[in-house]
Amino acid sequence: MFHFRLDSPSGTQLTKFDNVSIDYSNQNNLGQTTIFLNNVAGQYSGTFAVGNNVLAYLSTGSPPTSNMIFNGFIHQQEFISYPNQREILTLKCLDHNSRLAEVTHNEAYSNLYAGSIIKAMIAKDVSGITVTNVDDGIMIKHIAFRHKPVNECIKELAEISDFDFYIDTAKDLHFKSEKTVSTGSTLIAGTDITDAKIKEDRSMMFNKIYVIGGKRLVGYAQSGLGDGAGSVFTLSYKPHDTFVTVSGAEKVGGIFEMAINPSGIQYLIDYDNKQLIFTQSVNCGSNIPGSLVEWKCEYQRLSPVAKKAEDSASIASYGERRLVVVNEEIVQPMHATKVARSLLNKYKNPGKNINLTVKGYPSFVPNQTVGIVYPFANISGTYKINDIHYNITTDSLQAEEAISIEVGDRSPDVTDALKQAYSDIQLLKASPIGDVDVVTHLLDGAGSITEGIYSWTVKKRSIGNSFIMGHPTNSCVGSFAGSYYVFGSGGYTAWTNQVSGGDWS
Amino acid sequence: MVWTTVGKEFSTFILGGSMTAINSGSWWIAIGTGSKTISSTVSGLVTEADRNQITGSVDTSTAQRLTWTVDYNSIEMSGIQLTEFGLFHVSSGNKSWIQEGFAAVSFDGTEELQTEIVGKVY
Repeated sequence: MFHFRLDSPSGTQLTKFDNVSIDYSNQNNLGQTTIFLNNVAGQYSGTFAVGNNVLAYLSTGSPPTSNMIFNGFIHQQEFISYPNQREILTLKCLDHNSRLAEVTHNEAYSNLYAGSIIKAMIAKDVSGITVTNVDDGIMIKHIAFRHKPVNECIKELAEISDFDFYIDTAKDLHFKSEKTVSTGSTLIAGTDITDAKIKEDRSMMFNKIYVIGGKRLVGYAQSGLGDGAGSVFTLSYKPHDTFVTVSGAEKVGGIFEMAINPSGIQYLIDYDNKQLIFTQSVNCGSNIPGSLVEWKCEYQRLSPVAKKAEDSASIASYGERRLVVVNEEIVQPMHATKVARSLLNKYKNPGKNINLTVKGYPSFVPNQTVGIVYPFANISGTYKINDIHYNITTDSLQAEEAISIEVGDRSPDVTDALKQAYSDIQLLKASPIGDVDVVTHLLDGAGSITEGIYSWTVKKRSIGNSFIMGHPTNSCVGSFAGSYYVFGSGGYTAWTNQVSGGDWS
Repeated sequence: MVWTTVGKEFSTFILGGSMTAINSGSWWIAIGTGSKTISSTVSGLVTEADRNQITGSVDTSTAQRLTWTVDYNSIEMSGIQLTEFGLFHVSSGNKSWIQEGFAAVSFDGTEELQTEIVGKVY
């Protein structure tokens, strides 16, 4: 026979309840307790207050003195009066994981391990939580958090490190490699498992992941030769902050399709069509570059950090399913790469979701692993615990069936629909992403061998005034149209990168 | 950028000591103007414009790295909207070992091209 004990703030141990429900979930990394007390004659009218600490134990012994299953505080208390003077007090409690969601962090870090960043974050913004079990994780080249809830910051670091995190009942934060900490338990059908529901589902499977980060402005220069007739030149990218010269002389710019352009405008920029248009009108005069006259356009182009990761084996087996993650705070390509790779690794196969009601009272902690042997559904392996639910009633304690767990991959529910809706809103609110100019493909094909691509680069350089035999213009010696080429004067510019990719590691 | 299935197949010849199947270690990088999704089963460029041989040999001066560098002059590149390139072990035809596609890089006759691929073995 197991007993449940709740230590009230005054030190009084309460062992009789109508119903106590305790829930842990690694989806939001939160533990919650709801306690229903029969408030006969208002016996608890002054016992509890919001903010009071609450501890709960579940073990043998009366009252139980070991196996603390909850350590938190009262978040809300509600007195309800029913007909026939039936008084109920409902206490809603949160564990200390909620402290991470209630404060925000505003800091940038470079060249630090994820664990070191978390320790600095806790030291700065969260009191009363120790970091004894925070491991290093991966090295982070650069990451910035802009007033983001601390739990979201840690979750982001955990995702790119393939780590899990939670605060235990001793108020110590754990940051450990995923699926490496075991409960030490194996649950066997017919012995430890009373009820089971096992589902395999492709709803939470994604095998093509796009990670769209923040955008940066990058300088670019383009040039060409006029022919004396054409006024429209197509640029390589949509231009910002243009600076145009013709034969070295700076020109005055305007915006294409503005209703009224002041006189003196010598060129127009059509941003969406990437066009440089030299004007010719009564107001503006003739600004079309003459034959073989050089024009040059320097401008800024938006360069979004965007990475794509896909698994060809999963696509071949199950069809393509895409996931787009938009996060303006990701400004390092390597960061986007790690996020894309981590998400692909997690979601590339259909999820297996297992819900069990457990016999007895083994000790469980979310994110730890447990062995499951259930031959009726061909289940035999180790799975990560996602959710733990304690349903404490007199009947469940007597039957030793108070605990149920969800392990494996999470099954989609209304929470996921809400998260998708939130994600869609974020996409709408995000700045216009525009064309993705550089997308590096991360392919994780089946049967890969240990060869990879460190980097690839396409570079350009101008030939300047170099003499090149056979070149239509740079093989000319002498004057034409007022200009001439110097024989063999060189003038090559340096190589400049145009596009590149790879994981550089 | 990916190592294609063809690339992996020929790599086994190298490990097995057979160089004749891969033309004794000569390399070419081809450039093109086509566009398609790149996967490990891709067999070559969509629209190949030119193919040049590397000058000298593959750079192996950095441990576990192989660097292929190929240049194209301004006459070869004049007017090309470059969108794809790939590594080959023959001067024409056959299938790519490594291949990538990207947004167009334009050349107006006054610019040269240098392509560089750095592979790694781990």
